[in-house]
Amino acid sequence: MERTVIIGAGQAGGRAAVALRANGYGGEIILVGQEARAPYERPPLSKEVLLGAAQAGAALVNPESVYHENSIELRLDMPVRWINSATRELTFMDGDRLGFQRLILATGARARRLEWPGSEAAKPYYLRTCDDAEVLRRTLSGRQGDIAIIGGGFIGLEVAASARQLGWTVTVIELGQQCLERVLPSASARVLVDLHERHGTRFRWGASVKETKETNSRIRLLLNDDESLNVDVVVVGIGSEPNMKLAEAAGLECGNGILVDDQCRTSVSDIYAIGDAAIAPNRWFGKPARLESWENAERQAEQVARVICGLPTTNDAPPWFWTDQFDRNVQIVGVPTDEDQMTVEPGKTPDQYVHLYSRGDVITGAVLFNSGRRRRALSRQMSEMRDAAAAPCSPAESVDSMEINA
Amino acid sequence: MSDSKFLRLCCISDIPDSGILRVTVPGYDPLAVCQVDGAFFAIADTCSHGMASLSEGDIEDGQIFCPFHGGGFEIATGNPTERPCTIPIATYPVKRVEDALFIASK
Ligand SMILES: Cc1cc2nc3c(=O)[nH]c(=O)nc-3n(C[C@H](O)[C@H](O)[C@H](O)COP(=O)(O)OP(=O)(O)OC[C@H]3O[C@@H](n4cnc5c(N)ncnc54)[C@H](O)[C@@H]3O)c2cc1C
Ligand code: FES
Repeated sequence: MERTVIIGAGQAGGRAAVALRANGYGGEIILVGQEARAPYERPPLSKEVLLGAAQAGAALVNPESVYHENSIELRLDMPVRWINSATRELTFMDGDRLGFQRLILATGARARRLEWPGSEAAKPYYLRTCDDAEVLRRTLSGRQGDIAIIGGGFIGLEVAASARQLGWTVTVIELGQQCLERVLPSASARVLVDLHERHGTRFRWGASVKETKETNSRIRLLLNDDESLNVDVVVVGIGSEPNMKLAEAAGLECGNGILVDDQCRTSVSDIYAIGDAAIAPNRWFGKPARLESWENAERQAEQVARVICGLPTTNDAPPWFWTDQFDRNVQIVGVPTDEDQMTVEPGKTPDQYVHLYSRGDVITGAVLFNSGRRRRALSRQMSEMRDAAAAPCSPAESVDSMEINA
Repeated sequence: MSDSKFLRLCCISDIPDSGILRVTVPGYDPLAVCQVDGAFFAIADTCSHGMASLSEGDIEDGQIFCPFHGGGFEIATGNPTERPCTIPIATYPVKRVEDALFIASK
């Protein structure tokens, strides 16, 4: 019997396994993961979980019974060390081997590490996994103090919002002059910064940590402007890096991610890559993009299942990402940029509005504030406009990354 | 209807123009009573994706869309139809007696 092995039991891997069956795949499916848990949703980790409103790992990608019902074998807590793409065999960390006819790499990404003189003494927290979230939650709950968050990306801002809501005094240390510079136009990013400032969060722009000074009971961060900051907890959220060592070692073409075509195929036949680890042609960016978003993981998972089952597929809906901070849900659809014309479309209440970005008559992107209900129509409209304008995307000529989840 | 096997949900005229009314009855998590093309349904009011009340959402094409992230469900079956919702919500049969709606008591 043919066997498909999926490496990475996360959002993309978990979804792909079930989608294979749903599309009629009759072979063996083995879902291999390095974490000890069955696939779970990461979005709640920086939000509800830190706030204590949900348990880490409680939100599952698939209900537990689904794997058994669909004859999907789960091999958890089993990191893969090596893939031999010639003999179609992989080797686990413990030396066990497993052959495959088809392989899906869904290895995701990891939090980018930051080192500075004395960084070990600051014992910085990172947030990617359930275990990370549980450790941070325990640190933040039941007491209050000062927290420094290095990096004003989505994860940093979500942690900032959660920590503020728990009563912590929050300082965000951001190298740029604005938050989310690579993913949000400045007018939309400003709304988020204002929101945080209204809740009492302080931002240090153009700032970085030079050194961790002494560490008796507190952590003293010396910043690049020679000012120092005394805090109790340091969190680093400076983006993430694709997990592609396995792919590189197996001889698969990689850039800032595992290179795939518009059918999730890597440079080696019958090996596919999806989710945060993959960089795929993207007509919205006009070049290959590695998207770190829940929806991208879902879409590529469903797509690869169809591809393996020999069904036709396209995946060219506008990229979509959401974040929740304080009482605000913010959704980004398409690729809004500072070069586009921005108009504000008001909603039913003052906290509901849409920043609509366009070039000529074509809507290129939108940022929705508490307006999730507008997304479907906008997304559809943007696709129709794009189809009409029919801007073809050149294949993997560039490997620039566009990280949604900066 | 005095039959203790059924609990009264609401009067049809209680359902606002949006077609959705949030109702709480003993033994059930909060419910959203929905009116779709003259038919009535009771579904779980809490979105399976997060802590949002579906009764504050919108009905379109037999689906209910969550006010928070905009995910959706088919009202008749509770099956997810729109991301980010992926887990079905509970649905319950509704019994109509004249102008009132009832649900089986638990
Ligand atoms: C805290 C947090 C909050 C987020 N919030 C949002 C949000 O609000 N909205 C949104 O759109 N997106 C959000 N995201 C992004 C979203 O969760 C990711 O895009 C999604 O999880 C990507 O899925 P994936 O399967 O590619 O990667 P992952 O979910 O990371 O899964 C990859 C899995 O592969 C495993 N793996 C890696 N290497 C190996 C190996 N060698 N052997 C075996 N297993 C291996 C990893 O351990 C991991 O379990 C958030 C992410 C985080 C971390
Ligand atoms: S809470 Fe309903 S869609 Fe997210």
